[in-house]
Amino acid sequence: MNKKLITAVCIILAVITVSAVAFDSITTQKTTEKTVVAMGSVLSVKIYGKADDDVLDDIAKKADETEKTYLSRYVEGSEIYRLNETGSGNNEYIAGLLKRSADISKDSGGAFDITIGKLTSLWDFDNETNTIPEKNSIEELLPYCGCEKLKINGSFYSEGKNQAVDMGAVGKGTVCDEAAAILEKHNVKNAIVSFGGTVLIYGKAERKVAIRTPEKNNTSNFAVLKTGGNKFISTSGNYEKSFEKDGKIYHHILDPKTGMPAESGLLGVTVIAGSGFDADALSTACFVLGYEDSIPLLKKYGAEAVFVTNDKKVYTTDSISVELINDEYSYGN
Amino acid sequence: MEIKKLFKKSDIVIIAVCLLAALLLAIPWKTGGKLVAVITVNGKEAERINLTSLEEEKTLSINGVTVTANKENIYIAESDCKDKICVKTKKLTKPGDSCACVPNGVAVYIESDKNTIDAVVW
Repeated sequence: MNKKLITAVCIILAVITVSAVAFDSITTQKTTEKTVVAMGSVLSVKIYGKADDDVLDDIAKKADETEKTYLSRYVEGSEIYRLNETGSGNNEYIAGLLKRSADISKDSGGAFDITIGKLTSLWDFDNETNTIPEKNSIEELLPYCGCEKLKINGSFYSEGKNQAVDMGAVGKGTVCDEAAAILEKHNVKNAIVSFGGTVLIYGKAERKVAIRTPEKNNTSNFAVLKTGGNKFISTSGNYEKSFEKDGKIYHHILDPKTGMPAESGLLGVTVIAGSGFDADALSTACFVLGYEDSIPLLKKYGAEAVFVTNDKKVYTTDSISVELINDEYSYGN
Repeated sequence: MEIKKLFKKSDIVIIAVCLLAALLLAIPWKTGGKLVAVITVNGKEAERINLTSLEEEKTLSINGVTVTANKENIYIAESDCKDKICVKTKKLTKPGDSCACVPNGVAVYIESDKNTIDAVVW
Protein backbone atom coordinates (compact mmCIF):
# COMPACT_ATOMS: atom_id res chain seq x y z
CA MET A 1 0.00 0.00 0.00
CA ASN A 2 1.50 3.30 -0.91
CA LYS A 3 2.39 5.90 1.67
CA LYS A 4 0.20 8.62 0.19
CA LEU A 5 -2.86 6.43 0.62
CA ILE A 6 -1.96 5.64 4.25
CA THR A 7 -1.53 9.28 5.02
CA ALA A 8 -4.79 10.12 3.34
CA VAL A 9 -6.69 7.44 5.25
CA CYS A 10 -5.18 8.57 8.54
CA ILE A 11 -6.04 12.18 7.95
CA ILE A 12 -9.58 11.37 6.92
CA LEU A 13 -10.13 9.17 9.97
CA ALA A 14 -8.65 11.74 12.31
CA VAL A 15 -10.78 14.49 10.82
CA ILE A 16 -13.92 12.39 11.08
CA THR A 17 -13.24 11.53 14.72
CA VAL A 18 -12.42 15.06 15.79
CA SER A 19 -15.35 16.56 13.97
CA ALA A 20 -17.78 13.97 15.31
CA VAL A 21 -16.73 14.70 18.88
CA ALA A 22 -16.57 18.44 18.26
CA PHE A 23 -19.98 18.44 16.60
CA ASP A 24 -21.40 16.52 19.54
CA SER A 25 -19.81 18.97 21.98
CA ILE A 26 -21.06 21.99 20.11
CA THR A 27 -24.60 20.76 19.62
CA THR A 28 -24.99 19.60 23.19
CA GLN A 29 -23.30 22.57 24.77
CA LYS A 30 -24.78 25.40 22.79
CA THR A 31 -27.78 26.71 24.64
CA THR A 32 -30.15 29.57 24.02
CA GLU A 33 -31.89 31.10 26.98
CA LYS A 34 -34.58 33.65 27.47
CA THR A 35 -36.30 34.86 30.61
CA VAL A 36 -39.41 37.03 30.64
CA VAL A 37 -42.15 37.86 33.09
CA ALA A 38 -45.54 36.45 32.20
CA MET A 39 -48.70 35.99 34.30
CA GLY A 40 -46.87 37.64 37.17
CA SER A 41 -44.22 34.91 37.23
CA VAL A 42 -40.78 34.38 35.77
CA LEU A 43 -40.84 32.31 32.60
CA SER A 44 -37.47 31.00 31.53
CA VAL A 45 -36.78 28.85 28.51
CA LYS A 46 -33.48 27.13 27.84
CA ILE A 47 -33.00 25.36 24.53
CA TYR A 48 -30.11 22.94 24.02
CA GLY A 49 -28.67 22.71 20.54
CA LYS A 50 -29.83 24.58 17.49
CA ALA A 51 -32.98 26.64 17.83
CA ASP A 52 -34.88 29.18 15.77
CA ASP A 53 -34.84 32.59 17.40
CA ASP A 54 -38.59 32.80 17.39
CA VAL A 55 -39.19 29.70 19.54
CA LEU A 56 -38.51 31.62 22.72
CA ASP A 57 -40.66 34.55 21.60
CA ASP A 58 -43.47 32.20 20.62
CA ILE A 59 -43.51 30.62 24.08
CA ALA A 60 -43.49 33.99 25.83
CA LYS A 61 -46.29 35.22 23.58
CA LYS A 62 -48.29 32.07 24.23
CA ALA A 63 -47.96 32.52 28.00
CA ASP A 64 -49.30 36.03 27.70
CA GLU A 65 -52.13 34.93 25.45
CA THR A 66 -53.07 32.00 27.70
CA GLU A 67 -53.49 34.38 30.60
CA LYS A 68 -55.24 37.24 28.87
CA THR A 69 -57.44 35.37 26.42
CA TYR A 70 -58.30 32.32 28.45
CA LEU A 71 -57.35 31.72 32.05
CA SER A 72 -57.29 34.95 34.05
CA ARG A 73 -60.32 35.59 36.18
CA TYR A 74 -59.29 39.24 36.52
CA VAL A 75 -58.61 40.25 32.90
CA GLU A 76 -61.85 41.54 31.45
CA GLY A 77 -62.81 39.65 28.32
CA SER A 78 -60.91 36.47 29.09
CA GLU A 79 -62.92 33.28 28.74
CA ILE A 80 -62.86 32.56 32.48
CA TYR A 81 -63.74 36.18 33.34
CA ARG A 82 -66.73 35.91 31.02
CA LEU A 83 -67.76 32.57 32.47
CA ASN A 84 -67.74 34.00 35.98
CA GLU A 85 -69.72 37.04 34.86
CA THR A 86 -72.32 35.37 32.65
CA GLY A 87 -72.35 31.76 33.78
CA SER A 88 -71.63 30.33 30.35
CA GLY A 89 -69.19 30.09 27.50
CA ASN A 90 -68.46 28.03 24.43
CA ASN A 91 -64.78 27.83 23.73
CA GLU A 92 -63.45 24.41 22.83
CA TYR A 93 -60.06 24.92 24.50
CA ILE A 94 -61.57 26.09 27.79
CA ALA A 95 -64.20 23.35 27.67
CA GLY A 96 -61.34 20.84 27.49
CA LEU A 97 -59.52 22.37 30.45
CA LEU A 98 -62.69 22.56 32.53
CA LYS A 99 -63.45 18.93 31.75
CA ARG A 100 -59.98 17.83 32.84
CA SER A 101 -60.30 19.92 36.00
CA ALA A 102 -63.64 18.33 36.79
CA ASP A 103 -62.20 14.85 36.20
CA ILE A 104 -59.26 15.40 38.56
CA SER A 105 -61.62 16.99 41.07
CA LYS A 106 -63.84 13.91 40.98
CA ASP A 107 -60.91 11.48 41.11
CA SER A 108 -59.44 13.30 44.10
CA GLY A 109 -62.71 13.31 46.01
CA GLY A 110 -62.93 17.09 45.66
CA ALA A 111 -59.42 17.80 47.01
CA PHE A 112 -58.68 19.67 43.79
CA ASP A 113 -61.37 22.19 42.92
CA ILE A 114 -61.23 25.10 40.46
CA THR A 115 -64.56 26.49 41.71
CA ILE A 116 -63.26 27.81 45.04
CA GLY A 117 -62.50 31.24 43.59
CA LYS A 118 -64.71 33.02 46.09
CA LEU A 119 -62.89 31.39 49.00
CA THR A 120 -59.53 32.29 47.46
CA SER A 121 -60.67 35.91 47.18
CA LEU A 122 -61.86 35.89 50.79
CA TRP A 123 -58.47 34.74 52.08
CA ASP A 124 -56.71 37.02 49.59
CA PHE A 125 -53.24 35.51 49.91
CA ASP A 126 -52.17 37.23 46.69
CA ASN A 127 -52.34 40.63 48.35
CA GLU A 128 -50.77 39.47 51.58
CA THR A 129 -53.59 40.84 53.73
CA ASN A 130 -52.56 38.21 56.31
CA THR A 131 -55.93 38.04 58.02
CA ILE A 132 -58.01 35.03 58.92
CA PRO A 133 -61.56 35.40 57.60
CA GLU A 134 -64.53 35.01 59.97
CA LYS A 135 -65.67 31.42 60.30
CA ASN A 136 -69.20 32.19 59.10
CA SER A 137 -67.91 34.10 56.06
CA ILE A 138 -66.09 30.93 55.04
CA GLU A 139 -69.09 28.70 55.71
CA GLU A 140 -71.37 30.95 53.68
CA LEU A 141 -69.22 30.39 50.62
CA LEU A 142 -68.80 26.61 50.83
CA PRO A 143 -72.17 25.81 49.16
CA TYR A 144 -71.02 27.69 46.05
CA CYS A 145 -68.00 25.47 45.56
CA GLY A 146 -67.81 22.14 43.77
CA CYS A 147 -66.93 21.12 40.21
CA GLU A 148 -70.10 19.06 39.97
CA LYS A 149 -71.94 22.36 39.58
CA LEU A 150 -70.20 22.97 36.26
CA LYS A 151 -71.99 21.66 33.17
CA ILE A 152 -69.59 20.88 30.37
CA ASN A 153 -70.54 19.55 26.97
CA GLY A 154 -69.54 21.47 23.82
CA SER A 155 -70.36 24.63 25.75
CA PHE A 156 -69.97 25.10 29.48
CA TYR A 157 -72.01 26.58 32.26
CA SER A 158 -71.29 27.59 35.84
CA GLU A 159 -73.43 29.11 38.58
CA GLY A 160 -72.38 32.50 37.22
CA LYS A 161 -71.86 35.18 39.81
CA ASN A 162 -72.66 32.75 42.59
CA GLN A 163 -69.52 30.82 41.77
CA ALA A 164 -65.99 31.82 40.84
CA VAL A 165 -63.87 29.59 38.64
CA ASP A 166 -60.19 30.14 39.38
CA MET A 167 -57.62 28.41 37.16
CA GLY A 168 -54.69 29.80 39.17
CA ALA A 169 -53.61 26.37 40.36
CA VAL A 170 -53.14 25.07 36.81
CA GLY A 171 -52.12 28.21 34.91
CA LYS A 172 -48.39 27.56 34.93
CA GLY A 173 -48.72 23.91 34.03
CA THR A 174 -51.06 24.82 31.17
CA VAL A 175 -48.48 27.25 29.79
CA CYS A 176 -45.84 24.51 30.06
CA ASP A 177 -48.12 22.25 27.98
CA GLU A 178 -48.38 24.99 25.35
CA ALA A 179 -44.61 25.42 25.46
CA ALA A 180 -44.11 21.70 24.79
CA ALA A 181 -46.33 21.95 21.71
CA ILE A 182 -44.34 24.93 20.42
CA LEU A 183 -41.01 23.16 21.01
CA GLU A 184 -42.30 20.16 19.08
CA LYS A 185 -43.50 22.31 16.21
CA HIS A 186 -40.03 23.82 15.91
CA ASN A 187 -38.32 20.41 16.07
CA VAL A 188 -36.43 21.28 19.24
CA LYS A 189 -34.77 18.20 20.65
CA ASN A 190 -33.97 19.21 24.21
CA ALA A 191 -35.18 22.11 26.32
CA ILE A 192 -36.13 23.15 29.81
CA VAL A 193 -39.02 25.47 30.50
CA SER A 194 -39.39 26.85 33.98
CA PHE A 195 -42.45 28.88 34.78
CA GLY A 196 -42.85 30.19 38.29
CA GLY A 197 -41.73 26.94 39.86
CA THR A 198 -43.37 24.52 37.42
CA VAL A 199 -40.75 22.87 35.21
CA LEU A 200 -40.91 21.10 31.86
CA ILE A 201 -38.03 18.79 30.97
CA TYR A 202 -38.45 18.49 27.22
CA GLY A 203 -36.62 15.83 25.22
CA LYS A 204 -34.95 12.54 25.96
CA ALA A 205 -31.92 13.88 27.83
CA GLU A 206 -31.97 13.16 31.53
CA ARG A 207 -31.80 16.29 33.70
CA LYS A 208 -31.18 16.98 37.33
CA VAL A 209 -34.00 18.89 38.92
CA ALA A 210 -33.55 20.31 42.38
CA ILE A 211 -36.51 20.76 44.72
CA ARG A 212 -36.60 23.91 46.83
CA THR A 213 -36.49 23.41 50.60
CA PRO A 214 -40.13 23.61 51.79
CA GLU A 215 -39.58 26.47 54.21
CA LYS A 216 -40.61 30.10 53.93
CA ASN A 217 -37.93 32.41 52.57
CA ASN A 218 -35.51 29.54 52.13
CA THR A 219 -34.10 29.47 48.63
CA SER A 220 -31.83 26.48 49.12
CA ASN A 221 -32.71 23.05 47.74
CA PHE A 222 -33.19 19.93 49.81
CA ALA A 223 -33.38 17.23 47.14
CA VAL A 224 -32.38 16.43 43.59
CA LEU A 225 -34.26 14.14 41.26
CA LYS A 226 -33.33 12.91 37.81
CA THR A 227 -35.87 12.81 35.06
CA GLY A 228 -36.20 13.08 31.31
CA GLY A 229 -38.50 12.36 28.40
CA ASN A 230 -41.03 15.19 28.38
CA LYS A 231 -41.81 15.36 32.07
CA PHE A 232 -43.62 18.13 33.88
CA ILE A 233 -42.79 18.83 37.50
CA SER A 234 -44.84 20.90 39.89
CA THR A 235 -44.68 21.56 43.63
CA SER A 236 -47.32 22.61 46.11
CA GLY A 237 -46.25 23.67 49.55
CA ASN A 238 -47.38 25.53 52.62
CA TYR A 239 -44.41 27.89 52.60
CA GLU A 240 -45.32 30.09 49.66
CA LYS A 241 -48.03 32.70 50.07
CA SER A 242 -48.49 32.09 53.75
CA PHE A 243 -48.49 33.90 57.07
CA GLU A 244 -48.08 32.86 60.66
CA LYS A 245 -50.48 33.79 63.42
CA ASP A 246 -50.36 32.53 67.01
CA GLY A 247 -47.77 29.91 66.06
CA LYS A 248 -49.92 28.49 63.28
CA ILE A 249 -49.15 28.70 59.55
CA TYR A 250 -51.95 29.81 57.27
CA HIS A 251 -51.18 29.09 53.63
CA HIS A 252 -52.85 29.48 50.25
CA ILE A 253 -53.73 25.86 49.47
CA LEU A 254 -57.29 25.62 50.71
CA ASP A 255 -59.12 22.42 51.50
CA PRO A 256 -62.34 22.80 49.48
CA LYS A 257 -64.23 20.83 52.12
CA THR A 258 -63.47 23.20 54.99
CA GLY A 259 -62.44 26.41 53.25
CA MET A 260 -59.40 26.44 55.53
CA PRO A 261 -55.73 25.93 54.60
CA ALA A 262 -55.24 22.19 54.05
CA GLU A 263 -53.73 20.26 56.94
CA SER A 264 -52.62 16.89 55.71
CA GLY A 265 -49.30 16.60 57.48
CA LEU A 266 -47.27 17.82 54.49
CA LEU A 267 -44.82 20.66 54.09
CA GLY A 268 -44.77 20.13 50.36
CA VAL A 269 -45.33 17.69 47.54
CA THR A 270 -43.69 17.59 44.13
CA VAL A 271 -45.47 15.77 41.31
CA ILE A 272 -43.86 14.50 38.10
CA ALA A 273 -46.47 13.92 35.40
CA GLY A 274 -46.91 13.61 31.65
CA SER A 275 -48.61 16.99 31.30
CA GLY A 276 -48.17 20.34 33.00
CA PHE A 277 -51.86 20.58 33.72
CA ASP A 278 -51.83 17.20 35.48
CA ALA A 279 -48.64 18.02 37.42
CA ASP A 280 -50.14 21.28 38.72
CA ALA A 281 -53.59 19.87 39.50
CA LEU A 282 -52.23 16.69 41.09
CA SER A 283 -49.71 18.52 43.27
CA THR A 284 -52.54 20.65 44.68
CA ALA A 285 -54.77 17.60 45.16
CA CYS A 286 -51.96 15.59 46.80
CA PHE A 287 -51.13 18.43 49.15
CA VAL A 288 -54.74 18.50 50.33
CA LEU A 289 -55.01 14.69 50.51
CA GLY A 290 -51.73 13.92 52.27
CA TYR A 291 -49.23 11.17 51.48
CA GLU A 292 -51.22 7.95 51.80
CA ASP A 293 -54.48 9.11 50.25
CA SER A 294 -52.60 10.50 47.25
CA ILE A 295 -51.14 7.19 46.09
CA PRO A 296 -54.24 5.82 44.27
CA LEU A 297 -54.78 9.18 42.54
CA LEU A 298 -51.17 9.33 41.34
CA LYS A 299 -51.39 5.74 40.08
CA LYS A 300 -54.53 6.53 38.11
CA TYR A 301 -52.77 9.41 36.32
CA GLY A 302 -49.45 7.59 35.89
CA ALA A 303 -47.68 10.25 37.94
CA GLU A 304 -44.86 10.11 40.48
CA ALA A 305 -44.39 12.25 43.55
CA VAL A 306 -42.03 13.31 46.31
CA PHE A 307 -43.74 14.09 49.63
CA VAL A 308 -42.23 15.97 52.55
CA THR A 309 -44.06 15.50 55.83
CA ASN A 310 -44.17 17.98 58.71
CA ASP A 311 -41.38 16.09 60.49
CA LYS A 312 -39.10 16.53 57.44
CA LYS A 313 -39.34 12.93 56.29
CA VAL A 314 -39.27 12.39 52.54
CA TYR A 315 -41.50 9.80 50.91
CA THR A 316 -41.53 8.94 47.21
CA THR A 317 -43.68 6.82 44.93
CA ASP A 318 -42.19 3.57 43.63
CA SER A 319 -40.52 4.62 40.41
CA ILE A 320 -38.76 7.76 41.49
CA SER A 321 -35.73 8.28 43.65
CA VAL A 322 -34.34 11.49 45.02
CA GLU A 323 -30.98 12.39 46.41
CA LEU A 324 -31.34 14.37 49.63
CA ILE A 325 -28.83 17.21 49.89
CA ASN A 326 -29.98 18.80 53.14
CA ASP A 327 -29.06 17.08 56.41
CA GLU A 328 -32.28 18.12 58.12
CA TYR A 329 -34.33 15.96 55.78
CA SER A 330 -34.28 12.18 55.79
CA TYR A 331 -35.92 9.33 53.93
CA GLY A 332 -39.21 8.08 55.32
CA ASN A 333 -39.51 5.05 52.99
CA MET B 1 -10.20 -7.97 -1.19
CA GLU B 2 -8.59 -9.17 1.99
CA ILE B 3 -7.79 -6.66 4.67
CA LYS B 4 -4.30 -8.07 5.04
CA LYS B 5 -3.57 -7.19 1.42
CA LEU B 6 -4.93 -3.69 1.72
CA PHE B 7 -3.17 -2.79 4.96
CA LYS B 8 0.22 -3.77 6.22
CA LYS B 9 0.67 -4.21 9.96
CA SER B 10 2.42 -0.87 10.12
CA ASP B 11 -0.49 0.84 8.36
CA ILE B 12 -2.90 -0.37 11.02
CA VAL B 13 -0.59 0.85 13.76
CA ILE B 14 -0.41 4.30 12.17
CA ILE B 15 -4.18 4.49 11.78
CA ALA B 16 -4.71 3.38 15.38
CA VAL B 17 -2.25 5.97 16.64
CA CYS B 18 -4.01 8.69 14.63
CA LEU B 19 -7.40 7.68 15.99
CA LEU B 20 -6.11 7.60 19.53
CA ALA B 21 -4.49 10.99 19.15
CA ALA B 22 -7.72 12.42 17.77
CA LEU B 23 -9.67 11.03 20.70
CA LEU B 24 -7.19 12.30 23.26
CA LEU B 25 -7.40 15.75 21.71
CA ALA B 26 -11.14 15.71 22.09
CA ILE B 27 -11.47 14.32 25.62
CA PRO B 28 -10.54 17.40 27.69
CA TRP B 29 -13.32 19.18 25.89
CA LYS B 30 -15.93 16.78 27.19
CA THR B 31 -14.84 16.54 30.81
CA GLY B 32 -13.35 19.46 32.69
CA GLY B 33 -15.05 20.98 35.73
CA LYS B 34 -13.65 20.69 39.20
CA LEU B 35 -13.83 17.74 41.57
CA VAL B 36 -14.56 18.50 45.18
CA ALA B 37 -14.25 15.71 47.73
CA VAL B 38 -15.96 15.79 51.11
CA ILE B 39 -14.98 13.72 54.13
CA THR B 40 -17.56 13.33 56.88
CA VAL B 41 -17.14 11.90 60.36
CA ASN B 42 -20.32 10.58 61.97
CA GLY B 43 -22.38 12.47 59.42
CA LYS B 44 -20.68 15.83 60.00
CA GLU B 45 -18.47 17.39 57.38
CA ALA B 46 -14.88 17.23 58.56
CA GLU B 47 -12.88 18.12 55.48
CA ARG B 48 -13.50 19.49 52.04
CA ILE B 49 -10.81 19.15 49.39
CA ASN B 50 -10.71 20.65 45.93
CA LEU B 51 -9.01 17.74 44.16
CA THR B 52 -8.54 19.58 40.87
CA SER B 53 -6.36 22.21 42.53
CA LEU B 54 -4.07 19.70 44.29
CA GLU B 55 -0.52 20.04 43.04
CA GLU B 56 0.74 16.98 44.86
CA GLU B 57 -0.70 14.03 46.72
CA LYS B 58 -2.20 14.82 50.09
CA THR B 59 -2.64 12.45 53.02
CA LEU B 60 -5.02 13.01 55.92
CA SER B 61 -5.61 11.03 59.09
CA ILE B 62 -9.15 11.25 60.38
CA ASN B 63 -10.77 9.09 63.05
CA GLY B 64 -8.57 6.05 62.49
CA VAL B 65 -8.67 6.34 58.72
CA THR B 66 -5.99 7.53 56.33
CA VAL B 67 -7.31 9.22 53.23
CA THR B 68 -5.13 9.85 50.21
CA ALA B 69 -6.14 12.52 47.73
CA ASN B 70 -4.61 13.73 44.48
CA LYS B 71 -5.61 15.64 41.35
CA GLU B 72 -7.41 12.64 39.87
CA ASN B 73 -8.91 10.71 42.75
CA ILE B 74 -9.37 10.19 46.46
CA TYR B 75 -9.46 6.94 48.44
CA ILE B 76 -9.12 5.40 51.86
CA ALA B 77 -5.56 4.08 51.92
CA GLU B 78 -5.46 2.70 55.44
CA SER B 79 -7.82 2.07 58.29
CA ASP B 80 -7.58 0.60 61.76
CA CYS B 81 -10.92 -1.15 61.30
CA LYS B 82 -11.25 -4.93 61.23
CA ASP B 83 -12.80 -5.72 57.87
CA LYS B 84 -10.92 -3.15 55.70
CA ILE B 85 -13.80 -2.97 53.25
CA CYS B 86 -13.13 0.74 52.91
CA VAL B 87 -9.54 0.14 51.85
CA LYS B 88 -10.66 -2.34 49.20
CA THR B 89 -13.17 0.09 47.67
CA LYS B 90 -11.99 1.42 44.34
CA LYS B 91 -10.69 4.96 44.04
CA LEU B 92 -13.27 7.74 43.74
CA THR B 93 -12.84 9.60 40.49
CA LYS B 94 -16.10 11.34 39.58
CA PRO B 95 -18.96 13.28 41.20
CA GLY B 96 -21.26 10.96 43.07
CA ASP B 97 -18.57 8.33 43.83
CA SER B 98 -18.39 7.45 47.49
CA CYS B 99 -16.88 5.06 50.00
CA ALA B 100 -17.15 4.67 53.74
CA CYS B 101 -15.47 3.12 56.73
CA VAL B 102 -18.57 2.21 58.69
CA PRO B 103 -16.82 1.09 61.91
CA ASN B 104 -15.00 4.44 62.12
CA GLY B 105 -17.98 6.49 60.94
CA VAL B 106 -15.97 8.05 58.12
CA ALA B 107 -17.48 8.66 54.69
CA VAL B 108 -15.78 10.10 51.63
CA TYR B 109 -17.58 11.28 48.54
CA ILE B 110 -17.02 13.46 45.52
CA GLU B 111 -19.56 16.20 45.53
CA SER B 112 -21.95 16.67 42.67
CA ASP B 113 -21.06 19.94 41.05
CA LYS B 114 -23.90 22.26 42.07
CA ASN B 115 -23.81 23.83 38.64
CA THR B 116 -24.91 20.58 37.09
CA ILE B 117 -28.43 21.13 38.40
CA ASP B 118 -30.53 21.90 35.35
CA ALA B 119 -33.68 23.32 36.89
CA VAL B 120 -35.27 24.12 40.23
CA VAL B 121 -38.86 23.40 41.08
CA TRP B 122 -40.71 25.16 43.92
